[in-house]
Amino acid sequence: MLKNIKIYTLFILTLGFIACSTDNEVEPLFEADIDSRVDAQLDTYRKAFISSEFGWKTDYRPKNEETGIYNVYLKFNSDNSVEIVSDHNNGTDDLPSTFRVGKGHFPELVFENYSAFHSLFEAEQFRLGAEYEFIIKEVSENMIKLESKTDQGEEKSTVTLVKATATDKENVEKLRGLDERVKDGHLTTLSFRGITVTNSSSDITFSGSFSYDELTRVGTVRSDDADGKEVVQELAIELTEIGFDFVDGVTFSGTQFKSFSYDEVANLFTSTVDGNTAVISASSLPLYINNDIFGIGESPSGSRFLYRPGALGDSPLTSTAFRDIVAQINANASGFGLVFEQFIFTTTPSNDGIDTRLVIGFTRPSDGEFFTGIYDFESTIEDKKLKLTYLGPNPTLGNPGNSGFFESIAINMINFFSNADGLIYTDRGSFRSDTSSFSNDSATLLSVGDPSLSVYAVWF
Amino acid sequence: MKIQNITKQLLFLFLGLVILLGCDREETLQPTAIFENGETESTDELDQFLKTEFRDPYGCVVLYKFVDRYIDPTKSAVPPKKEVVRPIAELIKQAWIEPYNKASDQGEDFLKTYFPAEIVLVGSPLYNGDGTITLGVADAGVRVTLTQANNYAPDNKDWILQTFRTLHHEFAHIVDQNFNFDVEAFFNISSDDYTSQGTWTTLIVGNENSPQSINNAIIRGMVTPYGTSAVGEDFAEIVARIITTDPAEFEATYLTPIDCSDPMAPANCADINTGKERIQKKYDAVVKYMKESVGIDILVLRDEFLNSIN
Repeated sequence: MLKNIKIYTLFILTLGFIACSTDNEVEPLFEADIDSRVDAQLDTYRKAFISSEFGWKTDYRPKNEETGIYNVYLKFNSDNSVEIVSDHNNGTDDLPSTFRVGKGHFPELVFENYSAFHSLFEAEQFRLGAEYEFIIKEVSENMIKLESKTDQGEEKSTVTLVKATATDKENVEKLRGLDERVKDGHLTTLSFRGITVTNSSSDITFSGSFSYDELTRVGTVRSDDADGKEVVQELAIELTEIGFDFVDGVTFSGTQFKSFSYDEVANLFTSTVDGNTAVISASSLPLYINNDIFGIGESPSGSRFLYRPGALGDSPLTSTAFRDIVAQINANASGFGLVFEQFIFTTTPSNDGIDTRLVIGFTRPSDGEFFTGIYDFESTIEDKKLKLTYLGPNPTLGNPGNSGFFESIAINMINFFSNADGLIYTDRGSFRSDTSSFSNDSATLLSVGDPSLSVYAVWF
Repeated sequence: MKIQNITKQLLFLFLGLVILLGCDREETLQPTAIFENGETESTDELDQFLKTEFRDPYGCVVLYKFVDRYIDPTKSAVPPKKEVVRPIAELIKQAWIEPYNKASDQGEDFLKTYFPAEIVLVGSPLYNGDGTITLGVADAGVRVTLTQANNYAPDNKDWILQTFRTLHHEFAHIVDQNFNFDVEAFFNISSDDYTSQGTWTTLIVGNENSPQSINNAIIRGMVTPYGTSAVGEDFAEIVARIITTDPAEFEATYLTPIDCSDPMAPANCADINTGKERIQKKYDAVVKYMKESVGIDILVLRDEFLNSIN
């Protein structure tokens, strides 16, 4: 009995001890609560951003190695304002903004008002993959590592801020506007650019086409390899005061080139390494005709190639000489109260017989009526050029009488397509004009017989 | 003996339970909001202006600094340029607050009660990810989101009209949520002619305001294609169009029947006229409801708004 009493007493005391114990008697792991510790950590980060006397500098690559470099200087201030200086868009979007070092799922840096980062983010329907919200990954005295908060998937772009020197801001300012001279079509009416490499004996050792995507800051060089197969090199670019650098360098005919200098008088870029000189310059005909022609008429956007300047806007890729043809057509048609509206071009070179059709449309402004002339061709591809044999107005489609009537009015446009030396077809990415921007593919056709004639149009 | 033992055991178990339940276990976790905003009041000139003009009199916070939780996570957008915030805020006073103050039988008290608690300014449209955009959002009667702020310019009349059309549309939802509009009677005017979900865009020819698009809506007894998407949107679109359209233009476009004997009359003239009769009924219902239930003379509101932007 006594034994039982002892057991029960011990049991009750144990229960009481368990029930009445509190965690207050356990030593806390941290002196402050979680909010205070998070706030303190964020404050430390914020002070780190502000601490740099001359601010920070970064080589911003919105999609890491897939894009070229935007030079950005940032000065964070204690009133939460941030000064941003960049070489994007000639500095137009380097607007006053505030920043926030805050907490989402992770510590984050957010640029709160529209500035260069936002401009890059929204450009061309977010094509660049840029961002203005970042997760703070690592902070040290001389370097801050950030990661995109908004990139999807595993591969997220990273940004490294490096402590700036007294001259970094000015150095970035000097780069503003210099991307203009790298752009395709800068100060030239010639439609193409090529890159040639000559050795010390002035022998050409390499030639290819060169184009530049001004948003991604990537240059594309196309050439043939030793087996005649097309080689496409996409090369990240960084602007420099004297010209530009290929970020990772590029090797042509065994020589690596990296830094190119701009010759303002000749409007070309040069780089000389060990007696080999690479020159990037505009040309009337491509130094290398790419294989785009083999995909003509097969765009996912559609099989009809539409030129409709009135409704879709104009592009410098349509030459002045081609516009003159349109003006001449309008002059010829004015006596009948008609104006040129558009052409629609379709072609299937792999077919035999009549495989190409040109439909030229006119409107009559007085009543809005629309008229067409329909013309037939037979096509072949020779040396990567589209050669068309003109067969005359279509005898059955549309209104054959109208087709015959419009033939003489539009003969210069028909001759553009059927010139004996052929047409060079070049894909031009998404359609962009001075008034419109579509995701539809676009392309140019250039007359080899008269390279001053080129027209830019959209597939639909 | 066995019964004695069981009694003792039960007694100890009971005592144990009393001890367990009698003690008050102290909470060791002290939960506080992770996202608590501990920022101090901004002394920035713009922030002070917004406080004086919106927060103090109307309890409304104008949010122009980007915070992602104010944007639907399925959408993309950018914040406004700082330089456009103050002129837009002043325009909101001029073309929204002051007209309502003049048109309400409660004067300033109406908006002091019903003005949204938050106005979110977004620099771009809200990109929906499917190629479409959203121009404005009203959330649960407390927040209005205005988009495309970066397109603002004092002489950009198209932007001003489009923005305030959106704003008056969104505020009509807030009014509707607070004053119980007779939705059923309104719905019955057009009933079957509302479009099925997601198909209202098929009525658009060119753009939403083209004559063909508007006629496609009128035939259904609505003022815009978007108005055909739901009865609530129909109501908000009519309110917005009444306020933001010149009365002569509104009457000619939406109310005055076409002379179908005219050789130039469109082929669907009779359908358009039937639609206009329906719009007239809705117009009358809206004017009456706003006047009698809400205490707003919408025709005064319209005149004040149009004067403010011209």
